[in-house]
Amino acid sequence: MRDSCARLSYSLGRRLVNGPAGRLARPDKLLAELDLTTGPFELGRAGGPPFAAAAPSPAARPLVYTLEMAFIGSLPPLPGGMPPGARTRRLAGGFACLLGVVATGCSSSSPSAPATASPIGSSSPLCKGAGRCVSIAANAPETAIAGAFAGVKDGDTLAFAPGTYEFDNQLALGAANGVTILGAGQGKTILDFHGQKQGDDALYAQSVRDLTFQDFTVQDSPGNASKALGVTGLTFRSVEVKWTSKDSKSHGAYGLYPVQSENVLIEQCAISGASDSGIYVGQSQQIVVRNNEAFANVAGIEIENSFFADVYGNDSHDNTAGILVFDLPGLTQEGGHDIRVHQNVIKSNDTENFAAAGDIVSLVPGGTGFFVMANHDVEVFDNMIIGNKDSGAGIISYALAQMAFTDASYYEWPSKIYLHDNTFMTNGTMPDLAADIGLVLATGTSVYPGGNVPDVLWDGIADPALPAGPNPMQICIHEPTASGVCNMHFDQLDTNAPDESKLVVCDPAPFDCTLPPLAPVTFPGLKP
Amino acid sequence: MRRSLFSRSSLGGMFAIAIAGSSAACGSSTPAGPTCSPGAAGVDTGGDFAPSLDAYCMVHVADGQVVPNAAATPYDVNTPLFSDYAVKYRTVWLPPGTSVAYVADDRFEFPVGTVITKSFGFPADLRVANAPVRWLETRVLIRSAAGWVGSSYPWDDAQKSAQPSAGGAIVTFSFIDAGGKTQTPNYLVPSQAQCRKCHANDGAMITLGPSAAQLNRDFAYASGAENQLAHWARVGLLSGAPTPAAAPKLAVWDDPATGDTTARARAYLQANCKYCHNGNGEARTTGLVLSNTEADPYTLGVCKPPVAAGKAAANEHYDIVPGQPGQSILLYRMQSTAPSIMMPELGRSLEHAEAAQLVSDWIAGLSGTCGAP
Repeated sequence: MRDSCARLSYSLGRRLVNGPAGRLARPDKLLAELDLTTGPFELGRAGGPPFAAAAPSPAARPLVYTLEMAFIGSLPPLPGGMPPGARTRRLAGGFACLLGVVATGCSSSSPSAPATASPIGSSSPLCKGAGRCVSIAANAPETAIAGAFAGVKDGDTLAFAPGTYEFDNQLALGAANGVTILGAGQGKTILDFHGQKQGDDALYAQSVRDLTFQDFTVQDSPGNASKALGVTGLTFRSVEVKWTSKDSKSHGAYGLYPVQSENVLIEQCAISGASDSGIYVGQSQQIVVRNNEAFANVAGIEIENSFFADVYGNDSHDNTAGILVFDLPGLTQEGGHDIRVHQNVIKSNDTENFAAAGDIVSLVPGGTGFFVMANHDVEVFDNMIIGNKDSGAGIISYALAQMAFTDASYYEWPSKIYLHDNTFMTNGTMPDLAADIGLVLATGTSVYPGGNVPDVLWDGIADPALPAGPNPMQICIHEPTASGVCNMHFDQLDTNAPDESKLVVCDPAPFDCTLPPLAPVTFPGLKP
Repeated sequence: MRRSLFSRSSLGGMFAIAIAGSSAACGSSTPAGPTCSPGAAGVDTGGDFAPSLDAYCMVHVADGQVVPNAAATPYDVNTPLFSDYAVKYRTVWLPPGTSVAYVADDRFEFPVGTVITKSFGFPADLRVANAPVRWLETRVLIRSAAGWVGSSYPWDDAQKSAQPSAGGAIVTFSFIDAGGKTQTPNYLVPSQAQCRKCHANDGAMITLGPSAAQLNRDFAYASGAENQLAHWARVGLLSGAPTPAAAPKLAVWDDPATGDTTARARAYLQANCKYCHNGNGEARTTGLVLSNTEADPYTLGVCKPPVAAGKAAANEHYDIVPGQPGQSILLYRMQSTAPSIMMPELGRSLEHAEAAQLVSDWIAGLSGTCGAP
């Protein structure tokens, strides 16, 4: 009994790695040799005629190939055809079996099985460093990959060979620290979740330390492409997330989704098509989001209810909104603060908002460059904010969401916001009339400087508990290139008959102040 | 049309699981027998699982029914988790000389060495009383010294053998529901990592079912019907328990004799949502708490906007709008079967229409307004 598992896995593995489909022949002959009525479990029995020839010798391989084909072909045709993924599931068990071999330490019973031939092996050119290497071959079945993810140990690298991997279940990571999930590169290793049937997240991890995702593509997840909950030391590096369907409303909500995590680094990633936010960091602390590209999402990058974030060097273009810094009520972590947004290109974020109407980002007008909502201590500088047709940079309160809340600890106003030295160009040329905020903005075009929505606007809604004044919220703005720096006076807005032309006050003087620069975010292991 | 669970071609759906069984050949399987003991399986192995379910000596399958082995105590809960209409059978075993200290309001804390099993299966036709069940998997939770660990053990077609599945699977088959309709779920056998999706509480695995309120009901033991809390106390599994009448009792979601609409809807949410929707579970990020004791309406979802719901927010603005089930995102997500919308996120691929109706009735009976969003 001992080595039957190993042999089955070995033979199936050989086929998947090396066996071209065209060589799978002669199913009829082998059908006669197998007693399939007893179920496939019987095939694993050692010593039976089919597997007597399945020893890992070159001569045996052709027989194994045909054996497997017979395996598939022996099942009665299904009315209505084979369900998608059925074949993969059928083969999967062999590899789960192999995992069993490794786990129980009896892999020595198949000494001649080369590691590279196994769908889950122990060496990969991608693996570097000292930890255990778990290599995942192209066409490794889902059950085996999921098993490898579940059985992960501290310090492991799980390395996907180039190829496209299809999943019908969420891919969840077990509880181990210092794990790296590695691919062969964006567009080379593709994790395809278009057939996912369970789970709101494609890649999922929680409550671990020092987790890295690097060098692969995730595509077409029905929900979020990834979620990392409660991870301390989280890196997404050179990960691509995209949705390929033209029906953008069908896309998943978030691309990269760290939440309640600490020491988060997201760099050199490319995220497109998310129906909420491409890069969404929520309720987290010590965050660096740098040198990524986000496009064709509703929000390119969103930092929400988070502390100490450094968002720089990103190219956020052609989204509905480029970069959002939000704070929302009713959450575990509130009062977002110490957010730096600098040296980003925020360009042509003019995509029609395709978020679900109840989603908070659905209130953001198409054509928004940058919004900060609530939050305190936010510094926005040295960005290029160009061609966002609704507005360039807005400083707003949660009141604009027009939703009641009963959270007494929530502070709904933005304060200590410092915008300086950004480059503004041709924003606000066409407010989004499909959004409430855009509609209101459009009512003032007759009086706006140059006829465009001013590049820098504050909604004018201040904390009533503060002493009244021209700038109670300590908003400081030094923007020589801005078309206007304006108080929109939404606080005086007649929502039944909004008319910004009677309310807007474009005068930079009240905001002519400076705030101390915020410190760059640092955390252990972060390289400059 | 998909395969019937019982036709020979159902092999297709269960194929992966069946092959996975051959891994048993790799390990040293402990044969089940009249003298076996759950403790002999070695429950503190650092997260490794016995290569065969019978090593735990908890249950076996005979004539389409799960049968508890002598040492295991079967139990039931007042309002269960919905799992695509699966039939369930639960057992618990505590190391000799140990017991659970009774707590009224929280989950029971079991001693190291405890083994809990929950078996999931489907009869071909839910309208047929006492029909044989095709058991798909038995999930095992083991209280190791380092905490709970869990694995699914999918059953083979012969219903003789079950081996651990690290990676899980989605299994497709058909059965006839209580209304006579053919249902074809994408049934989830969870990967070992997915266990944590529901069972993790601030990262540590916990049990979800056994609590005083859930166990406070009669069970038809071989020795006769008896209240479970009383039985556990009598046989030494539970210490410090009051009489059942003095213990809390969760309503049975579909038994109006056990509670009004509110009590039963809240019981359903408690059993089906609260394991994530509490201050420490997976959904702690949402601020939405769905325990049956949550007293703040906003935290319970009344007039609370969703946070990170994405398209699951549909075109509505609040989780619960009093008197307006059709405007309540909570109900919408219960009714959906789209992975990116439905709640719970895992373990359900069919709508639990009867429960959705109950929750709808409850929301319809709530008073108040949320104001114009």
